[in-house]
Amino acid sequence: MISVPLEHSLILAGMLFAIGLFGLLLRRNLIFIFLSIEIMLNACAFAFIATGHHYGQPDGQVMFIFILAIAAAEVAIGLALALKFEQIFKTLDAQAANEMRG
Amino acid sequence: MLWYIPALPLGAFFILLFFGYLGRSFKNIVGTSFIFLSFITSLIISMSHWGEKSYAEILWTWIPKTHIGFVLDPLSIIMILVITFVASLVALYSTKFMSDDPSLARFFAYLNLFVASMLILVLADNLLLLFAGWEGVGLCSYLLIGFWYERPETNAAAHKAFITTRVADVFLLIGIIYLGLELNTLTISTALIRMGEFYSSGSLSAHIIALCLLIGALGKSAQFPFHTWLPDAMLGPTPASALIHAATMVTAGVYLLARMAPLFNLAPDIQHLIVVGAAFTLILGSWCALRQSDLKRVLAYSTISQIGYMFLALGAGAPGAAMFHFTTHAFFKALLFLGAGVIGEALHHEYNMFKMGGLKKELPLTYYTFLMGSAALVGLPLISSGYYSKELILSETYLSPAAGLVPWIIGVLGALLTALYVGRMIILVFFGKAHAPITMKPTWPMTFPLIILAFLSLFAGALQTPLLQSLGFGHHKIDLAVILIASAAPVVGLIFAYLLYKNHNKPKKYRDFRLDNIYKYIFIYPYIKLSHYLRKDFFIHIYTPVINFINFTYALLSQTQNGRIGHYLTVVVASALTIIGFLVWL
Amino acid sequence: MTILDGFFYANAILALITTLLALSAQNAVHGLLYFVMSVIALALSFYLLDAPLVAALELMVYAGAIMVLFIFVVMLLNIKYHERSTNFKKYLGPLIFALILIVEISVIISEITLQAAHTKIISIKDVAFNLFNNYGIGIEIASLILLSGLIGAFHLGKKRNIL
Repeated sequence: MISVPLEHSLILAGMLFAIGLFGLLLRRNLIFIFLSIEIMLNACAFAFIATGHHYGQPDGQVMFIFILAIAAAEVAIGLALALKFEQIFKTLDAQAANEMRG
Repeated sequence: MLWYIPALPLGAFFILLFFGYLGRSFKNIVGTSFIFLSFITSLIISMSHWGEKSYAEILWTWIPKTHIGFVLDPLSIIMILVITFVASLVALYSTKFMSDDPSLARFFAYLNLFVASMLILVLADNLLLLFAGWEGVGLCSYLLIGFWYERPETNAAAHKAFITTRVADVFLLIGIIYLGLELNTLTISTALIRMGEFYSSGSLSAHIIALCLLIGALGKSAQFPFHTWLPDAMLGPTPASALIHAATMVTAGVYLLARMAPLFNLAPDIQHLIVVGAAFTLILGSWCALRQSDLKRVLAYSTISQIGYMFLALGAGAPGAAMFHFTTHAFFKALLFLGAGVIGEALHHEYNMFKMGGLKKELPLTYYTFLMGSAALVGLPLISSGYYSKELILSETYLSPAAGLVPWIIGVLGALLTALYVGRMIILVFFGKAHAPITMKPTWPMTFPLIILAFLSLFAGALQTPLLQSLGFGHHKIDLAVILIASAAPVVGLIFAYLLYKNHNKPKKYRDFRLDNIYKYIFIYPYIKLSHYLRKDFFIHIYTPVINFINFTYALLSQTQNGRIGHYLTVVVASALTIIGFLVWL
Repeated sequence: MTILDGFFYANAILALITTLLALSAQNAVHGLLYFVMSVIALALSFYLLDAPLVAALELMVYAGAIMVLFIFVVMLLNIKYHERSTNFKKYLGPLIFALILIVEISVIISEITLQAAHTKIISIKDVAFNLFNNYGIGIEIASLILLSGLIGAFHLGKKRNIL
């Protein structure tokens, strides 16, 4: 339907990924770290779809389905761990888990 | 079937090693039954091969020219029967003696390992396997002396035993290697045959090998000058002392010399040396035994002295007499040690003879069995087995060309001194006023071995003479006067003992001829000083920078593992970007 | 350049802006909702890229299940209000990494030579055919992953006396 060149879509995906990376390193709240990971996953999925559309092959969409499944499983376990984290450390600050002494 | 005999106790060792945590009755049963089974097997095999020259079983080849193989001939028959029998009784005894010790499994494991090593030693068909068994018994002696390792003096005693015998073992190894190089074989039977062909009497090689083997035997059997470890070895548990340092391990040297007897026949100078050393040792042992206050140390010095008798017989060229005395000594010395253990347990770990007394009424069974053992030790004429064996030794010494009148006189004097210290021991322990109350009376696992051994101490002599003759050891004819004087010596000694010690007077206590101190100054201090001096050699400048570098990089790298999540995330992202950048650049 | 292309670029800008807002949100729920908006924008892009199945799936699963799960958890926990720090040094490190990444991606994109585009329209039937025939193993593995996620989440979420 549309004829956006592939490079543009990939640049969009790249920028979304970079934003996710930025958030990953910046935020200290565990929920926001997970959110940044989701952003990155989403960006990758977008790259797959765009490339699949460009080459006219359904493999990109198939890959997207798998990424979705993985993201779902990961979010489930990750949030369960976040709950446990909060239970132990009484906070969601990732720096609270620095228990090693060098 | 021959390999079952050492394999059974070895199996018990491994079982106790891995499953030693299972309950007291498990430990007791595993610890004793395997040795007893080994005894039964020895009996069966010995009876089926009785009177044969030798029966060999080769298992597999270890190194080219030496195999793992076992040989059964009359000499080893005697050894395995005595070893397994006494070991079974000692194991039974220690189920009760060590019953409240927290490391019972370790004790039985070491005991079984020791029995297995000793059996390997006596059954080995080549010198290398014998040496392996030799080292094994040395190791187990160290482990058992230092069994209660929480006490510091025990550790020192165990080290002393191990290092002293180790020094002697070096010479043994030199002897074995030299023999192997010269005769191109290590198998004992082949070596003995080739010796007769290659060496004439008095050849230098035979003397060298014999000397090296002799030194090895002296160390293991606690003869002069290697005798200093045995009295201190009494710090180990009494059943271990009974088995190792009375009946079996210290006789390994005797076995070695008896086995290699044809070699010593080719080296008459060495035989003279053996006789001299043995005579000195037996007087030394008896003399020091007279001056001890600790019951077990008296028995230790007594062992030194009695093994001196065995070496005297070996030097005189009569290995049969030595082996006969070995069997009777095994029985009565084990009996005496077990009895000493009963006394010690009854008086709550008190072994000082001057704190004992009057035990004749309190421990009657122990008294009578101890009395029978002591009768065998002094060699009371005709009624004790010790008489027959000691008589045989003294007769052979008198008749031998390598020995003669003077060693015989020394032997008789030794018998006198033996009677003196034994009499002193009995009077101090069993007669007189009681100083300390009894806290424990022995029960059947402890009394049953005592009874059996007492029976054997009295009658084994008379029984054994026809047995030994059927195995091929013979008697010689001898002057009646010689026998009468030698028989009278113990009786005279006992009378003197009664006269001297009936009032329980306490002599001045000095323990040794201060040989320990001499060794300390000659060997130990210079070694320590030298090693201290050599600490700062030039190698230190080579590896110290290496150590510093390693420490530095460790300090640097351990900062990357600081547990901070943000830090870890950053590192992961940075490395991912670096890899991508690298790929882009490519 | 049709109007649909313009929609695509508008969606792209919307996605970027809302993602940035999601990251810098002060309230956790606000951040999640911004991200949901970003997901919706991307779903529209998927629709424009001839992938209606994927658009629907993204909306249903991603925005509808995963993000809702996030919001559930966030509401279970008591998350403090996040003060935006004005300390520029804090932003410096991550910014550098993000910029390096963007540079690398643009280098890659400019260097690659793309093959000629096909103009075949992919139907859902093609996708399903490809998925179940060529990537059947992937389905099994994905189901295993979901199973393990289920078990893991269940085990971790159990109430225990000790940890």
